[in-house]
Amino acid sequence: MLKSRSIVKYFYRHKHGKNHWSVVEKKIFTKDRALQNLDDFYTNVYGIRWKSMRLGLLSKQKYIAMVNNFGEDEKVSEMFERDGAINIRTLYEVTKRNLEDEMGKFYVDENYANNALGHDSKIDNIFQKKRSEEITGIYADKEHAENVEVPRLTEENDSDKESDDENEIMEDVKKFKRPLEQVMREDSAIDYSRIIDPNFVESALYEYVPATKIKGLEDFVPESEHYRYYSNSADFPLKVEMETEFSIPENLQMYTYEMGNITDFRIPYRTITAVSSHFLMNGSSILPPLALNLKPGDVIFDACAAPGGKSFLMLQTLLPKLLVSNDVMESRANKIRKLMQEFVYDFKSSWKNHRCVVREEDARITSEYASYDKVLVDVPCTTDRHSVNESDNNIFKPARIKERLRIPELQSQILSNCIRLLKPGGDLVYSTCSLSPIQNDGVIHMALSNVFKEHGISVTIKDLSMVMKPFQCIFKFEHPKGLKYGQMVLPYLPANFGPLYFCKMTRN
Amino acid sequence: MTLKLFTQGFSMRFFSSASNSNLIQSLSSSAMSKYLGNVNELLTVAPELSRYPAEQWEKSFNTLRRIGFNANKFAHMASQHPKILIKSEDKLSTAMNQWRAFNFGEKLTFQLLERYPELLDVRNFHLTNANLGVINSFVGQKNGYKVLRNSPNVATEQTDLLKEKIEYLQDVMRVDPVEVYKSDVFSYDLLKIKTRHMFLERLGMYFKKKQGDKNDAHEINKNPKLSKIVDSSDKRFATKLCHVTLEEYETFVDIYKEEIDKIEGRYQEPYEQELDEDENEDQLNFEKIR
Repeated sequence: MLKSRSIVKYFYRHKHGKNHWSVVEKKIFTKDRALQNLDDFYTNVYGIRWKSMRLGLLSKQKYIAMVNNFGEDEKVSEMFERDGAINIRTLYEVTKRNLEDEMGKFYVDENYANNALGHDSKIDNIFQKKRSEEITGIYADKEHAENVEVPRLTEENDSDKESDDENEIMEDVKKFKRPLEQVMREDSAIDYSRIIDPNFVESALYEYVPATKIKGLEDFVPESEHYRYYSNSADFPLKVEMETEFSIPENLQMYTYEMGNITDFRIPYRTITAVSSHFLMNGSSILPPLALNLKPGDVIFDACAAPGGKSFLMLQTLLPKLLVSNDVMESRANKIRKLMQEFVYDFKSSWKNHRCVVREEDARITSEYASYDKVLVDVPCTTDRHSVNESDNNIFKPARIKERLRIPELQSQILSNCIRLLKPGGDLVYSTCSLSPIQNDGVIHMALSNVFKEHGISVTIKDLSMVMKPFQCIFKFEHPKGLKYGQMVLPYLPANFGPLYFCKMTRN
Repeated sequence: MTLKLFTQGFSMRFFSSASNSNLIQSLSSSAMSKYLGNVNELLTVAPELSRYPAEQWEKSFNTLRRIGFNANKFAHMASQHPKILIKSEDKLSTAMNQWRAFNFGEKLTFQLLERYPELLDVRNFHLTNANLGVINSFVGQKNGYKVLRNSPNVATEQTDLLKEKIEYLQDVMRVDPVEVYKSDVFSYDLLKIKTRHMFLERLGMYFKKKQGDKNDAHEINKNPKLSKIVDSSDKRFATKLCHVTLEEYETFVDIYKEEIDKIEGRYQEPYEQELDEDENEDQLNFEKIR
């Protein structure tokens, strides 16, 4: 007699689970996609140096410990010093003094200062390449695709060199070229030769329906569009000044280990005042709030404050009269509240709504114009370090492609609005944690242009290269500079902070 | 004190040079004299040899000649591994027979043993046999010898460790077996191989070959050669191959070791949890009550 079980077994096809190596290997995670994207882009921008940055991004990051003044500050500082950590303020002052002794009071060499090199031609090339790749992807007819003219970002004045003969040939060639819009229009127009007359054969209607339009064409955003945000036509007055004023407030006790030392800090513990002993943050995050150069009695706006590390640093200095920590989503604002309650003694009764206000508002529509002394704009960005390490909440997710490509637009809108919030003479620091020149210099350029065109506001860019120079012993800055406006901390394994771009400006 | 040390050193040097001259005298009077022209040179290369008496030299020389090593080879082997002089004839011929049994061919076996005379000290040939089996299954029957010639430690290494290395090379790095026997990869520990591979991978210079991809067979392999990855010094590897600073590589070695320790549960927190004074007191009181 046949066993029923053996028959069932015969038909049962074994399928391995989700965690089988062959399944895992084939799967492309969002972080892989992100890495691929950054590889393509940054190799063109940074060349061989990208490799070193990539290594930094993919390895363990380094932290800086900020002692909580609301806890047992002296005891904690002593503990760090015993562990061999260095006080950043002391280090900064000593290095600054040494530099002054060596090179005089204005301790910056000409090569190091901002020389507005920019990445113009590189970004233009990337844009050209991406666009032509996309067009060849869309059109199977490669001859057409290659002939499509792609407008260049930079205007080239080499027309003098061209001879008349060449011009004639070019004109002949242009006759065969069709712009992208025209090709798309022609292709999507109704092809009358393919229409079936219903009187002739009715059943034929059910057999073939010719496509006349691509669904979702109006939502189509080509990837190359992202690179067009980096424009370099200067159409607004711009003044660049060397910043000479910078100090680390006395209340701030921050500790770090020297370059090459990867020792972790101790885990924060609960002190007798029921707050945590110290706050661990990515080292580069201390630079934007410090660059604001806080003064007693300042009214400060932190536009995208979550999770609140930078706000807490500013609060610790005890200098601001009022600090408004803002973020767009409730969940993110709650993160700030939670952090403040964990670190600030008696936050609810003494600080909340007195000297520190946490609120949820879109920074693009905040309308308290000309009322803040200092504004910190740490905009949402592609967060390079997070994107290549975590697949969760990753902006490179295919579903978020539109959001990602439009991110420079959002950033510039936030920045433009925040410039308007400044009092005349007030300072603003714009920062991102991305290496992309589009989100950094590109966005600043776009925002300054918009603000001048629409509201007639002009700003002075503060060149921070001199005041940041003493930090060179613990941070790796972008040098030689390919940056127009700001400073950038690069991921470098022995000092694995960043990436962080920041730029300071003063409203005129 | 210094005088004492000085005299001590002097007497020792005197003693050694005296023993050397004695040894050379007795060797020149023996049958070996016509074969070993430069005993003096040999003694400067391997001073340890002066410890052994002339009879021991002669005995060992004759034994090795009988087995098949000529005078030049004897000189080379003795300078490489002076302890060979005190090995008995029985042990040497047994070891020799065992090595012959691996069927590398007479010429290659002699070349191997001349190059690494320490291999004649191997006792556990079962282990060597097992290891060679594992190696052969990876690089092919013919090429096992080449691996052994590049990394003689394979003869005595634990089979499990060897298997781990092969598994890593085969499954994670997916290197071509040809590259394996052209490099000294088995001479290094697994941590070093992993560190160098991961360093390159994070730099974006090493890509894992996809398995079962038919188109992939025609693609040019842009990964650096295994011998370049593992056989170079730290500085050369970092600066010439990876185009980064040595400092970055050294930091990565520390970071990666920490990562591996964390994965394998060997990581120790750098700081011991300090108990507060009050908590300490509480603990003491509790102990008293108990």
